Amino acid sequence: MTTFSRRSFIEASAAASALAALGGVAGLRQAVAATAQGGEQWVKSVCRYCGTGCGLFIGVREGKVFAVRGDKDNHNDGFLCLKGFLLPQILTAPDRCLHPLVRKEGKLVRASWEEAMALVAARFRESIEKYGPDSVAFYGSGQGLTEETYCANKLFKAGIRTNNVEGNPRLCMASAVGGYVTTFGKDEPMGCYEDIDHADVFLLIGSNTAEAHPIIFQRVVRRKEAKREVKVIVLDPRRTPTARIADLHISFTPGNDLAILNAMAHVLLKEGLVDEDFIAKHVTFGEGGEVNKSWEDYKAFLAEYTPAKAAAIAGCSAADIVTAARWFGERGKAAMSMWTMGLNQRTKGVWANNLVHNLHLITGKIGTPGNTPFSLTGQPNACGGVRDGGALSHLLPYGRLIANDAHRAEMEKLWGVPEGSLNPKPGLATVDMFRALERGDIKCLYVMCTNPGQSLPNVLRYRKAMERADAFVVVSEAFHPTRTSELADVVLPAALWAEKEGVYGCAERRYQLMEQAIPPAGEARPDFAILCDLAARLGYGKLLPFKTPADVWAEILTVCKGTVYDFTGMTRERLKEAHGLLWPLPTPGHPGTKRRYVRGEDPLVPADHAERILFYGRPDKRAVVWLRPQKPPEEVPDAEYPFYFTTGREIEHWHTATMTRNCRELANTNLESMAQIHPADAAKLGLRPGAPVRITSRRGSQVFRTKITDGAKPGVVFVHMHDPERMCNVITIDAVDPASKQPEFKVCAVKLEKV
Amino acid sequence: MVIAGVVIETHPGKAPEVAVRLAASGEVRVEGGDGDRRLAVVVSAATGAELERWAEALLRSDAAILGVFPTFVGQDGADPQQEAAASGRWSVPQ
Amino acid sequence: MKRSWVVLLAPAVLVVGVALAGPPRKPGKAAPQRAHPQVDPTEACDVCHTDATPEVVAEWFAGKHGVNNVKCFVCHGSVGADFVLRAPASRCIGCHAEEVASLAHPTLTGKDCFSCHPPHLLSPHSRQRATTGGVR
Repeated sequence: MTTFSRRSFIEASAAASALAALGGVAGLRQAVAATAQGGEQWVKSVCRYCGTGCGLFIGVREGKVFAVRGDKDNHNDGFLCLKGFLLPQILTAPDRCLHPLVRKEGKLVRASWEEAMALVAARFRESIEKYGPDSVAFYGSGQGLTEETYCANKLFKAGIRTNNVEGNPRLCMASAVGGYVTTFGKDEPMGCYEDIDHADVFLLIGSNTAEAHPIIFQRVVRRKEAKREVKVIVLDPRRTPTARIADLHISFTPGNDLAILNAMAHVLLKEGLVDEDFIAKHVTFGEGGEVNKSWEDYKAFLAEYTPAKAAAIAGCSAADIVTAARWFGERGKAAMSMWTMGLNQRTKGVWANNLVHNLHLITGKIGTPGNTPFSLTGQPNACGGVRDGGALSHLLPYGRLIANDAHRAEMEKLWGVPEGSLNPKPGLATVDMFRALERGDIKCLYVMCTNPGQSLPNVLRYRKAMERADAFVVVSEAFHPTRTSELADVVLPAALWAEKEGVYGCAERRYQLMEQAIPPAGEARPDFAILCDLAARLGYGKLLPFKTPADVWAEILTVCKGTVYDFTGMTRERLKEAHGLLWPLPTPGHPGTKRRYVRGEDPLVPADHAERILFYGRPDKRAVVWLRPQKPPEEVPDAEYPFYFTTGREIEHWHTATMTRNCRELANTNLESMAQIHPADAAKLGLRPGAPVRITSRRGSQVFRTKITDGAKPGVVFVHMHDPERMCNVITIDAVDPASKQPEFKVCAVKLEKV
Repeated sequence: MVIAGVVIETHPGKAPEVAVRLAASGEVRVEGGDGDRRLAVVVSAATGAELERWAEALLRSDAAILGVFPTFVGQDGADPQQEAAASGRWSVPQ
Repeated sequence: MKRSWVVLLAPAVLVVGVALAGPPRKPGKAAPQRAHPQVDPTEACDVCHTDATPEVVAEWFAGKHGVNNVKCFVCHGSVGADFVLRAPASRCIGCHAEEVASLAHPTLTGKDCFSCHPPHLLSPHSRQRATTGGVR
C-alpha cells in the first residue's frame, strides 16, 4: 500500500486536474454535442446569412428553437457573428408569412393552398399556351437550397422550356463568375479558408470584410495575432472597420481601382517580382475576348500604368501603390486576395476580377497554402445552388452552357427529355428580364426567396413593372410584407431555414447539409414541395418526381458526375456525418479538395502530371492574364451631380433585412439607412448630424438623415442597402457589366441638398 | 503552502518552447502538454497572493503565453488569506 | 480588479480530474439586473457610453470582441425589456459552448464567465494583455 503525504496528494491532484483540463476539450465537446440531453436536441446546420457558411447547431426544446451554437468542428471553429448569434428569433417573427395570399380587388387576402396553387398553375399555363414559354420567368435566389433551385431550374428549362431562369446572384456574383471563367475556364475559387492561416500578405479590395464576412475577418485577425509580420492591405474608398487591421489602407476614387491593380502589376514586373517560369508554363495572355496576346504584349501594356499615373487617376499616393505591390510580391511570402461587391458590382466587374487574378498569375502566387485569389461570396448558397447548379439564364448545371450543343444534349439525356427539348438560346439576364416584364413580353414571374422590389438597381422602374396590370407575379416568401410581396398577385408562405432540410454551398466550395430542426410555421411549406406541386399541376410531374430533398440530391449527384465539380462522393449519409465537404469529391472515400488545380490535392489533376499545377478548366490548360485597361464607371460625378454615390452593408443587417429586423437587438440598430458623409462635405452643405439631406440621381430621389463620419471619403456618400423604408436603390443605376450583366450598384452620380 | 494545478495557454505551436523555459526556471513542475498550445504544470508558493504575483510576472515576461488558468488549488497548512476568503468576500470586476 | 486564487479553496474540497455533468449553474453572486435608462433605441451605444463609461468602451474596443465587432447587444440585449447588465453564461453559448460547459467543473461552482474574465476586455485571465497582436 502506498502512503501519500498530504503534500504529495495535493500535488498529484493538482497535476491530474491540469492534465485532465488539457485533454478535457474533446470531452467537453462530446458533452456539449450530446443530443437529447434533458429534452434538448442539437441539430447540425448552417447559418442562414452570408456566404461564409458558418456551421452551427440549432438547439430545439419542445418543438421550438431556443438557441444556436457554433460548430467547433467546422471551419468557423465554433464562432458566429452577431447576426448568426441571434438567428432563433427570425423563426417566430411577427411578420412571418403563415398563409397563402391571393390578390382580390386590389388587396391580398388569405386563401387556401389549393386556391393559390390552382391560380398560379392556371395563369402560367395560360400564358405559356397563348404567348409561348418565354412569356414566363423564374427569379430565384442564392438563399434557396440547392435541391430547390435545381427543381426550379429543371422545371423551367426542361419542362416549360424557357431559359428565363435567373437569380439574385446575378446582382452580386456574376462578375466573379465571369472573372473565374474568363481567367481559369471554370467558375469558383481554387483555394479555401484554410489559406488564411498560411498567408503572409492579405489584399482586401472591394470588401468591408469586418462587417460583411465577420468570421472570415476574425480568421484574418487571428492570423495576424499569430504572426506579427503578416501584412494587411486594404483598398477601399472608405475607411471601414476592416481598415482597423490594415497596415496599409489605400483610399481612391470609386471605379478607378483598375488603374491601381495594373500599376501594382507594373511594379511587380519592374522590380523583378514576377515568376517567369510559372508564366511560361501556365499562363497565356488575352485582350477583349481573344486569347491572342503574349507576355511581351502584356509588358508593353503595363508600361503606361506607372504608379504615378495610376495615383493621378485614382486619387491616391504612388508610394502606397508601390508599397502594396512590394508587400504582395515579396519572394517567399504567401499572398491571399479577397474581394466582394466593391469589385463585382461594377460595369467593369469582370475586368476588375481579372486584374486581381493577374497579380497572382504573374507572380505564381497561386495553388500553395496561403497563395490564392479568393472571391468572397455574399449569399449562403449563391455558389452551391445558383452558380454551380447552373440556375442562370445562360447556364446549365455544373459548368455546362445553354449555348453549347454538346452540353444541352448531355442535360437532355440526364434529365430524360427528348433531344432538342432545351431551348438553345440563352434567356434574359435579370435586369433584361425585369425590362421584359416592363414591356409586357414576360407576363408571369415566379419570385422565390428574394426581394427584388427592394434590391434591384433603379428599383422604382422595376417596381412599376411588377405592378403592371398584365403582370402576374408570384412570390414565395417566409415574410410578409416585404417590398416585393406587397406587389405580388399571389404570396406563397415558404418554410424558413430550420424548418426544412437541404444543402447550402458556401464560398470555399464547401457543401453542407442543413437538417430540419422544427416543422414549418403556420401553413408554410418548403420551396421544394411548392415547386414539385407546381410541376405536377403544369403537367411536368415526371420531371420532379421527388418525395424528399434527398431524392433530389441523389439525382444531382448523377448530374455532377464527370464534370469539374464532381462531388459524387458526397452522399447524403456522408453529408449528415460531416461538417461540410469541399468539392471536387468524386468518390465515396475521397476527403474533398482544399486546393484545385494542384497535383496531389485535386483529384482531377492526374497524379503523374509533370507539373504541380494544371489549369484544366481551359482547353490549352493555361490561365489567362487579361489586358484590361482602366475604364471609368458608367456614371461619374459632373457639374450637375457632383457626388459619388455608393452602397453597401453593415454588420447588424443582412440584405434587405427581412430577417434581421425581426431580432430584438437589431430592430433599432443601424436599420435606418443614413447618408454617411465626410465632415468637410457636411460642413460645405451645412449638414449637422441627423439632419435630413435629399440625395438625387438621374433616376430618383430619397431623403436620408445625415451621419457624419471621417471614415467617409470626401466627395463620396455611402448609404447601406438594408432599409426597406429608405431604399438606396431608388438612386442606384441599372447599368450592367456587358459580360456578366451584373449591375453597378457601387457607383453613380448624385447631388445632395439640405432639406 | 498553496499548491495549484495550472493550465498555461500559449500562442499556437509555442507550448513546447515555453515548457522548456518553465522547466529551466525551477519555479514549476511541468506535468504535460498537448504539444501545441497548452501546458499542465504544478506550482506552489507560500500564499495565494504569491501565486498570483507569480502568474502576473509570468504573463508579463513571456510573450508566448496568453493565459494562466488555475484548474485546482490545494492548501497544505494554514494560510492567513484563507480566513479572508472564507468570510465570503470577493470582489467583482468593475 | 484582483482575483484571488485562494477563493478557489472555499469550500475545502479536493478534486481530481474534470467532471462533465449537467448544465452550467447560475452564478452565486450575480450583480443586480437593472433596466437600461430610457434612451432613443436607434442611437448606437457608444454615442453615450464613450462619455458615460469610457473605460468600458475602450476595453471592449481593445479586446477580441471589439476588433471582431461582437457588439454590446450580443451580451446585453437591446435597451428594451430584454436588457441584461451581467449576461448569464447561457447567452455565451452561441460561440463559447465549450467554455460555458466548463462551468460545470466543481472548482467553478457559483461562478460565471465574468468571475474570472473581466467583462469587456474579456482577456483569458485578469489583467491579461489584450491579445490583438498587431491590431490597433
